[in-house]
Amino acid sequence: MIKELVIDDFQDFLKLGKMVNNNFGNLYDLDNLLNSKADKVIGYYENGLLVGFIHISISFDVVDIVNIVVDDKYRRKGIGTKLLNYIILSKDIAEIWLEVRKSNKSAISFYEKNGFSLVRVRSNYYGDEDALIMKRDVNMKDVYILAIESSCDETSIAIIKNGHECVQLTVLTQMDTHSEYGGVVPEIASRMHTENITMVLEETLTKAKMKVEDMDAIAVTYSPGLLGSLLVGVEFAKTLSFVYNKPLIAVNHIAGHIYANNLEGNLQFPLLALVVSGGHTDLIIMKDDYVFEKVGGTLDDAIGECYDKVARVLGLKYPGGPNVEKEALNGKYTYDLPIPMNDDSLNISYSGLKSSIINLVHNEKQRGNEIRKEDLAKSFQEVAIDQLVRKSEIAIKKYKVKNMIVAGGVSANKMLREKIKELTDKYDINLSIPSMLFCTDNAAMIGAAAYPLYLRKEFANLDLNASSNQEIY
Amino acid sequence: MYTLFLDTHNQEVVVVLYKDGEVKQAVNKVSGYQHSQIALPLIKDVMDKEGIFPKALDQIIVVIGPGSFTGVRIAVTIAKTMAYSLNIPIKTIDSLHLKAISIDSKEDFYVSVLEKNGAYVGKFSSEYVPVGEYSYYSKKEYDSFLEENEVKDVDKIDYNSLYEMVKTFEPINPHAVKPLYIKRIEVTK
Repeated sequence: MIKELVIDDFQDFLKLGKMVNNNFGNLYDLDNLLNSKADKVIGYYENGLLVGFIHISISFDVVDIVNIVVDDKYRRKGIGTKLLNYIILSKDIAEIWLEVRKSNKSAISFYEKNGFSLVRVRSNYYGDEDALIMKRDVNMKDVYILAIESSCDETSIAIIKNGHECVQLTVLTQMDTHSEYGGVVPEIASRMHTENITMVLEETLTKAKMKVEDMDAIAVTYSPGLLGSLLVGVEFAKTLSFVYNKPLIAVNHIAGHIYANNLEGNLQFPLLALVVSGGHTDLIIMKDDYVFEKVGGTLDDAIGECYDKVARVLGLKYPGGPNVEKEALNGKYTYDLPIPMNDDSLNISYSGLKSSIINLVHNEKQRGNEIRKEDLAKSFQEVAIDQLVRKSEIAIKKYKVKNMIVAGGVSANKMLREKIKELTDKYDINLSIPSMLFCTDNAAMIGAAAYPLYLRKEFANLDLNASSNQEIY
Repeated sequence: MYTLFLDTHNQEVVVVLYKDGEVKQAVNKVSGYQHSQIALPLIKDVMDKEGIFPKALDQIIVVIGPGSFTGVRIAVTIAKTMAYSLNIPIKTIDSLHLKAISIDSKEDFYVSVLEKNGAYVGKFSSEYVPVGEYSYYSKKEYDSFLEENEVKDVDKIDYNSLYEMVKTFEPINPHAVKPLYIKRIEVTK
């Protein structure tokens, strides 16, 4: 039997509480509890005996779980779940919140099974220990977002469930076409997006056995990227939003790379994001969802740009990054290259390194010396990645981060992954790097990044425009 | 029976809504380079004024260029996405043909579509059938072309003639609808 406790039941309540915590009586101000309109205690009885209870505090449609206790002898009988469901069914509520000790694994697993998810970590909440803040949305149906990405040379569409689960992802890459020209040709990219985009949609829906009608919102990358390419995705998404009367969500591509980490885990704040791609080399601190603070980054070239340039100087094919990395596998760190930004700042630079490699190759050629491609690739990569690791370490110490993520196309680099892993292990912080599929440009990450905006109802209108360089910070 | 016509091949965004072959709404808006911000809101306006939703559309006609590359892609992307998602027929007409059908001529004639650095030129018969291939001329080439030939100009597109002309066209699979560029881009030359 489940019932709300009244004044006569509180001796039993204290007795049960003391079974789990000797100090239980002192923690509770019974008078206060009895007089509070917000507080309620619901008890679970077996054969007339109180064997479990849940203490909640209610404010409008939000419920806070203050305490949940089940007699040791009655555990694993689903009593906790029954108490939770009793609250959900008996009150008109939207959210249930709670905090739990980080070390209390069995409680955390209980809450997860009951639909709670981690919202954030509150540092030193229990004096010496962190609390996990968890939340469960009640009566909320699953949210499906149809996401579109066309900022560069990939036409991609995905269906994302509840911001975390990739139901379906299609990526049509144009890499083979552009590699003929040694780099992405914007006009060709835009043409191919226009030709292929409806087919990519059809394939995605067919594989998922879903319709656009099943979606709750349409999300699209609107910036940064190649303007002509972005425009195709934006017009496509706006048209779907208009035809199906679904909310439209404008997503920043860099936010997408960061939120890609939600597809295989949970962002934990404060976090440090190292964003490394053909256009970005940035250090970003996030204290909460969609709160981005750029604390450092390149003063000149992006690391991806530098890789491409080095690839060209070494006569390697496009795309430069993977090919320089491949070449470096067989090389040794023999060339003496300048160490950029060897200071305590969070500034990064790649133009000096780039120039010194161009000069080195030029001078060696003039002297008639052979360039040892694999050694130069290796030497370059060591110096280029060491700079990222050094600067990340400074940021980790300065901002006391809980979670580090590496985002952007260059996060596919294996050496970078290994070095950053060593760094985060050293500081015992959680590292998330998306699997390869979600690292390179893809629409799944756009759907993941759209989800917090969906929950906040931050929708775009049909006059949404694409922009080549809108930053999130 | 509603038909939506879209054209974004030059500086204007043009939206025409037909009901049973009759022009109900015809609006154009000069947008410079803001086609993306203007096109869909304009389509929505036109349909709101007529009191219909996208599901009421039965057919789409789109101008596939030649003209501004990015501009043309706006209408083509909207049109093929609408036709695909509403599962309705889509027909295409090129921008030179669109001009030609508003011209009365007893013999073959030329029309052109100007762009920043030159012009697209097409020759048509008095029955509006294209004669030979379309060409792209640089400004200089186009000036000398004009010395030798007369190019007919149009004040106003006759949207009724357009509707009648397009009736004879076959619908296209939305997936296969793509812009007509004519001019080759630098890297592929």
